[in-house]
Amino acid sequence: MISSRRFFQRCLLFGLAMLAFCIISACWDYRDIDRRIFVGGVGVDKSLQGGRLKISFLIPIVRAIAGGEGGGSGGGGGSGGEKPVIVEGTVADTITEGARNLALRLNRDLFFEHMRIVVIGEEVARNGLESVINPFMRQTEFNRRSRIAIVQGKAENIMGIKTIIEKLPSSYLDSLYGNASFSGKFVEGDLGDFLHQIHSFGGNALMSKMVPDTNEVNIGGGAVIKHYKLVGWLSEEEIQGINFFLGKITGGSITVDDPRGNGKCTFVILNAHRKLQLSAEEPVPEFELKVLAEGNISEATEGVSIDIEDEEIIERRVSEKIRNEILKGTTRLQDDYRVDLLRLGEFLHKYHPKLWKIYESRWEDLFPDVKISVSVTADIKNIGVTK
Amino acid sequence: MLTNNDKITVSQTVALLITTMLATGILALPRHVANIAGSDGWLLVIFAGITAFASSLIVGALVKRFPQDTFIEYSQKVVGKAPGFFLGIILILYFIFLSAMSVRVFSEVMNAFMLINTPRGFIIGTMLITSAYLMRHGIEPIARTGEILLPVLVIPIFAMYLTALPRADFSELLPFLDTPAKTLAIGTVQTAYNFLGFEILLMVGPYMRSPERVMWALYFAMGFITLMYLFIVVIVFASIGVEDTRILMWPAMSIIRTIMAPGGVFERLDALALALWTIASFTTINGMYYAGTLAAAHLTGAREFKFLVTVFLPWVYLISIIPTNPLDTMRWTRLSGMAGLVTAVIIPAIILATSIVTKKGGSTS
Repeated sequence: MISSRRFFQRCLLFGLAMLAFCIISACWDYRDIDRRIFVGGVGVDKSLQGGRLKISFLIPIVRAIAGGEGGGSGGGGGSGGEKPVIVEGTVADTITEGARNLALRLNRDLFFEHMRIVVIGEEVARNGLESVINPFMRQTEFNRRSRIAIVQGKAENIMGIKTIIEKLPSSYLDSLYGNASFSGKFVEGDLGDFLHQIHSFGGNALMSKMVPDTNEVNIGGGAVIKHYKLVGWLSEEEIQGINFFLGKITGGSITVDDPRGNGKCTFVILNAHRKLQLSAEEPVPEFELKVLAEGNISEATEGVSIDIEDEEIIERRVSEKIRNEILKGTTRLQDDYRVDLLRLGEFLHKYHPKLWKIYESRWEDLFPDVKISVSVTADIKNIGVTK
Repeated sequence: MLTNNDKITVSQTVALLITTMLATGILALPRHVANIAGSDGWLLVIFAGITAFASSLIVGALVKRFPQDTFIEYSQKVVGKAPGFFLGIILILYFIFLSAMSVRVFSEVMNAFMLINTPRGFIIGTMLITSAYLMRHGIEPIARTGEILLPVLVIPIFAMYLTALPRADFSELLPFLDTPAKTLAIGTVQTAYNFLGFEILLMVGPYMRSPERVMWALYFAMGFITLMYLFIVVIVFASIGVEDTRILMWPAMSIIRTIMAPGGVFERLDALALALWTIASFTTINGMYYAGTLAAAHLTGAREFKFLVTVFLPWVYLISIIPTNPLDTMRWTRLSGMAGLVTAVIIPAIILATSIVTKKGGSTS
């Protein structure tokens, strides 16, 4: 009895050990890293064949990036020979299908975990984004930290840029977004933010805009998405105004005429706070926005020294300019696009839920008539080391 | 009547309860509450926690009343042999069903996030075999495993979700109390099943070294779990918003992928998260499965429960592969919620009420 039990235990132990060997040594999802292609970016365009998509994948060539450093031979000369990236394009109905199409041409597996950016062509965006964004939510391989932007023109052109400062276009494009502390004239955000907006505001979103050139990309301005469709663009100034409105400014600059009237004076924004309040409920909601912008004077042409009176004048002019930018942005959204990207609906929903229930169903028609009063205070913290 | 002389301490009981309650289902909890009550969803977690705590007190009272017996024995004492036997069978089926569901949910998460091509049966099978191996050693090693794994599990989970704070926007929790009271009440009941697991005390009670301190264990375990669930739901709401939470299948897992702590040091926490949730479901399965086999051993009067572990293994496996896809799994887990209401709340309440009326058990026996 005892010995048979021990025998059984030994058998079990042996079985488990064998099982452990099987589990540890390999699994169904095992892929060699050198069998993978790390896709850096995905571009989606409309194809010439009606209704289909032309999808381009930005693929870094690891050998070309790492080459030279490891071997030491060749040095600087070697790196020039090989292109660090290739762009593979394919025509398909969906993004996943496009990725599968590439399997016919590429010997390695596409791997999207490290994807940095998704760019969507203007034409596709005008036709509707629902079909394009779905895979980025559904599949876990796409991460929500990658960036997403609408391209003025074709997304292919972004994929094809030959960047000079960075080797990889994807990391160049991604790090452009890191400049929010230098400029407030673009829309900072990632795929997660975008999906959040799209789902919370019934298909409306403010997205980044990209304009390609041969060597660079300009990220200034923004794209207005209404009901999943691109309806138009916003200029850099309008975006800066809207960023002030949303309280998303973390940097940037405002240039005004200097107090003596013969030069310019630049105010560099350190940070900005905003406070939004509901000032009237009937017949349409009225809002009151207060913005406090703090910053330094970094430049004054004309070589004037700044006096205490000048400082006040500059502050007044800066706040006037910020106010104008904000109003430019809000009127554009209210009058031209008639889409609530100022998140006023969200504000009502969160802080005045009872009122929101009354307005919710006809908010879209109501939004253009909403009154917004803006007051801005600029505060100069520092003027540098010249008086 | 004890088939095994192993006893567990109060702190081990607490660990066993917490690790049994903390299951992979929590990954879906934010979606569940967001769908019911929107931004008030986090309130549901508190209410459900209180509700579950109140029902766990019934189980606690039974343990105190019958410190020497498991549910199988005292149900037969209280309501008679045949009905008690019948209730015992329900209890066994329930535990088997719940272990099957929790291993299934675990495999769904694994399949969705990491082992995309691995056959589901393989994930479930290896998990169950590991559990079965541990279970053959009895209650004390299981509780000790829980005790050891608890800090390993809980501290990193808290730390991991804390890294989501920099991008959290707590205004997502507004509007506050915008949901009708009726919806909240129904939602509370629907949410309470996430707190199931305390009913293992029906079987484990007499194995405690000091059953009179069972209430203390319950206060601590239920309070802890409620806080933990609340924390996770609030963080998920604040970092991806209520609307996004509604459509994500496993929101608490998806936000791990959006986390980017300053400096990019903790950029990719997926692997850590899945390791933690593996531990969490492992301990849950241990608790449930063990309670099931123990119940069967007591019911059949078997001297050894070990062989029952092996006997149940194929059945747990077969039940767990019944749902055909994740959506189907969702439907089945709702069923397990209802089963939990019956088995963990209604039946113990009836037994307790009957025992008080007929003056059985406790100091009177």
